[in-house]
Amino acid sequence: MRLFRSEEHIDRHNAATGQPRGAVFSVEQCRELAQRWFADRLAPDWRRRTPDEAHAIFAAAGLTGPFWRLTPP
Amino acid sequence: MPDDTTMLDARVRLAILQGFIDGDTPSMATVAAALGEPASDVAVSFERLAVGRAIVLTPGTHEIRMAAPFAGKPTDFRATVAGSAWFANCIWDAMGIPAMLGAPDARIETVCADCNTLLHLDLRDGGVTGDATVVHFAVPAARWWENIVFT
Repeated sequence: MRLFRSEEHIDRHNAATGQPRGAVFSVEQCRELAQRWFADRLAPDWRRRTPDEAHAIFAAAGLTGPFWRLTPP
Repeated sequence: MPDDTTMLDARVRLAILQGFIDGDTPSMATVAAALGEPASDVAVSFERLAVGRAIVLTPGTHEIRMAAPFAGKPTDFRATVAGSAWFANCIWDAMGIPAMLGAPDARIETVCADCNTLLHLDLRDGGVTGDATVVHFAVPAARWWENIVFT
């Protein structure tokens, strides 16, 4: 997951590398995702999230659709 | 009631993160010393944590490549919180460092992945300011762990 100056830079980078366009979203959404994903990382009883838990976090950051599915529905 | 192995792995995982917080990529030896546990037990714990995807080891070693949100080696992503700085694995992880630390403010530094222009973001009061940017995630979620370092 990387940062670009604009969508034009994403398209140029993808054209140069042959990489398909993936998900494009805002830094505010990224912060929301990071906040929800990592806030409990120092908890002694932390465990990896289930796919359903992960999908709920993605959705809370506005990240939905097939790209964000960890497992088939 | 967690078994002894589960409890050791939880302690090792936290010791790894604490090692990063304290300033450097922790080694198996430093984690073992910090916990007062035999290095051989900590080595096996590292391997279990890697299988469980809590950490990523450099192949064939017990060197920590990733312990999200921290990167074990210098990267293009750096997060600074209250004067301390850490390398992260990606922009998600860079923003995850202050989230994990419960820090409301942070500075994120990286480069545009296309043109290599230096970029910075300031996280403050729940908002994001700094250079105009967008995030691109190339790899669909179902394939993240096919090559997690690339992801």
